[in-house]
Amino acid sequence: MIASPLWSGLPMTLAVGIGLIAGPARSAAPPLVSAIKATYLVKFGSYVTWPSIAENAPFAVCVVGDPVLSDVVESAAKGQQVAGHPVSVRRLDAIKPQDECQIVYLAGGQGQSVIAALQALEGAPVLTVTDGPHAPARGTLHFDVRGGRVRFHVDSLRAEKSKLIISSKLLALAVSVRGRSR
Amino acid sequence: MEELQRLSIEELAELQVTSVSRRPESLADAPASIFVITGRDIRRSGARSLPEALRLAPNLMVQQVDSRSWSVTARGFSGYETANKLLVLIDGRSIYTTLHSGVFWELHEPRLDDIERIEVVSGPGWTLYGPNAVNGVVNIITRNARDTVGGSARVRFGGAHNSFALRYGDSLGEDDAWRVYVRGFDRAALGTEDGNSARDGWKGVQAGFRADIGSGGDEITLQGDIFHNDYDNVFGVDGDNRGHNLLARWIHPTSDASTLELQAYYDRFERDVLLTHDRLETFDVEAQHNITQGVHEIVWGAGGRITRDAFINNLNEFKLDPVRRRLWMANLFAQDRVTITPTLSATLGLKVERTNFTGIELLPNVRLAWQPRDGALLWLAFSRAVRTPSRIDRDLQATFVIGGQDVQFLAPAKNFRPESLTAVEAGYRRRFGTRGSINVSAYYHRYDDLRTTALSPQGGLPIRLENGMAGRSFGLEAWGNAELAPWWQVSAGINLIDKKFHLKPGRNDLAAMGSTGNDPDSQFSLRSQFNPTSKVDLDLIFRVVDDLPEPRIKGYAELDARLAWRAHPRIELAVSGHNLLHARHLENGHVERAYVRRTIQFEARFGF
Repeated sequence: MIASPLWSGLPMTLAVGIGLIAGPARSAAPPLVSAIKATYLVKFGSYVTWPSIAENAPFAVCVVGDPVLSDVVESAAKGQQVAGHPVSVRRLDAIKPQDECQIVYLAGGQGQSVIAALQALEGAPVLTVTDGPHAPARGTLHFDVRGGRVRFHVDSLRAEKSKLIISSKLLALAVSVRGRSR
Repeated sequence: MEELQRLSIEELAELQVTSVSRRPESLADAPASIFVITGRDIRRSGARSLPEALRLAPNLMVQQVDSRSWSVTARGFSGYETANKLLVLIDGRSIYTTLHSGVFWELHEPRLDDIERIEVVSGPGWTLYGPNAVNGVVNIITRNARDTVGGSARVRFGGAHNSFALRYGDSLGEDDAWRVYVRGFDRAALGTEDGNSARDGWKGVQAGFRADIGSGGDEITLQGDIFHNDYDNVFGVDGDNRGHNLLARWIHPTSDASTLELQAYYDRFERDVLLTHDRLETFDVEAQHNITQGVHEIVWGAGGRITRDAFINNLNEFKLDPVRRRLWMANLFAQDRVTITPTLSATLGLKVERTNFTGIELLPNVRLAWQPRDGALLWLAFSRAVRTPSRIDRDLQATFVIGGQDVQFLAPAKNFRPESLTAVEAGYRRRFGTRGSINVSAYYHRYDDLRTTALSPQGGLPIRLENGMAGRSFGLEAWGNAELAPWWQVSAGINLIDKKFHLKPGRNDLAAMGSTGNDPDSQFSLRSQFNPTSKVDLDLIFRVVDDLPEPRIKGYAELDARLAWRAHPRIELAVSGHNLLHARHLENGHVERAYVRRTIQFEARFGF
């Protein structure tokens, strides 16, 4: 931040004057990259086939270790449906297979490391999504911002082990598909 | 968010998350009077040059002066020399000139097919734009190289304008791309009062490249152009212009919520007109940081520019003193858009500008935006902007030799102050699903220190430029579009202005308040886009411009039309007509103006 007194002085006095400081934290429009990732998470549901979900159960998208992104995914999921099930978003600190999530976004962090989470979900019918150049391991899908766009990689070996079928449309959009010659 | 939900997954994968636009928010909720001319609008209108494309913006006043010269401005001050309050950028590179603060439109002939969009802001630009954003900002954005892979050629021929434009692009590795283009044109002369040729025909060539390289969220863009044009002149002395530029930009996301942007460019042009030689070199560096934190969307940054110019006049005695000069401009800015409630936001911005012609100028900007319902926006803005003095304002002088004696006719105005504007604006914008939208803005501008040409304090020679005029203008800009049927879209625009200026007490003006420009009180346009089949486009653009007061030029109504047929996925043939309603008409009151002619053009576009 610029250290000049002009910058630090002005917004503070105006902010106090309009009473902005006292209010609870509300979010501004989310950054575009987060909004795109959140929208993807909801849309992935229509391009992957899960073994059957209970009739009255919602389609669950779970965000582990990133409460800010969780809020964004909640607004992306508003009014959306996957295979006739309304989409619901859950915010978790750690995940186990019993949590019955169809899509899980793993941010890593204090609650549960990415590697621990992937191990816990090994073989479960869950679409695991990891993110970023610093992730220690990759899930079935992995976000990668490249060429100025938000893209993703697919690990079809992991998908097979989870008994999930990934549609060819999603495979075509992927930057790379592990386990298949392109 | 709902906009993203509506996209298909393929469209989501194509979304560019880094852009040249300087604002963090999307245009739909920007608290300002902005009109976006899309690349598609430009192609469908048959526009052959940037100023012709700018006619599509209802919030701009565009007048063709002659075959090469145009006056483009927002909210008044039309005129070849008086349209000096607009900042025009091409991909972040500023193209107004320090000679007279205006734009030499004939120096800029990019390939119009490579333009992604043009954002036209009327009113003082935000804090974020550079110097000269007083009455408006025109931000011309070209397409990312990744969107122009492959070859494309467009050929035009017809009465007044023959041109070809060729572009070839290819991808670089998996994610990156580049393109090169070349454009050549030959424009016929327009006519004079008595029907003779104005002998202002000209021809030119422009070529350039753009490369977009990214990895891990970083994005680097490199682009450059080079041009040369030459023309006949009414006095039989040919002239020519040439120039080149190079720009590099690096966008570096430091997290999902913050981005750093760095840009540097070098631009040089030379104009040889009659017996004058005008040269400008610009070196500019800018940095900007965007960060979203809780309810705050903050943008802050700084920029510095050095220009080196020379204006050598062998035609008459009006010369710059000094002939060559190095100028610098620096600015620091910061803006915070605070979300007060989910429907109300306030933007507070401040720009601090300093140049070697001015002291420190503080330019604040306060905006409020309220969304009373989904798809509607009400906004209010207060801002201050200044026009940095140009070389002509400060350094122009004239000394004549009369009877063996040096007589100073015009003395340089070394103390010429920046002209200033304080603006209050309000607007309403409403979108009706995908069926249409309307946009209304009203403004009240108070100007001070406008340029006058005064007698010396003793009442005689030498005369000098002064800041002797002040005044106000208020007006309304409104536009809307509607989809009357899936194959028929209509849009309309209206622009009204009322100006009242006065000389400050004790001042006189030999130019009779001429620097306020020659503007029509009203301007109206109507555009109809038909798609009778998926392969045929028909566009009709009708415009009416009111009389110009001083010098008096009669108002006019004109029609442009274009019919295009996509004969094949890679071939489009079109015929277009410009200014169809009258054989010729005048748009501008400049002493050397020419009559704009009715023309018919044929176009063919090929992809390969």
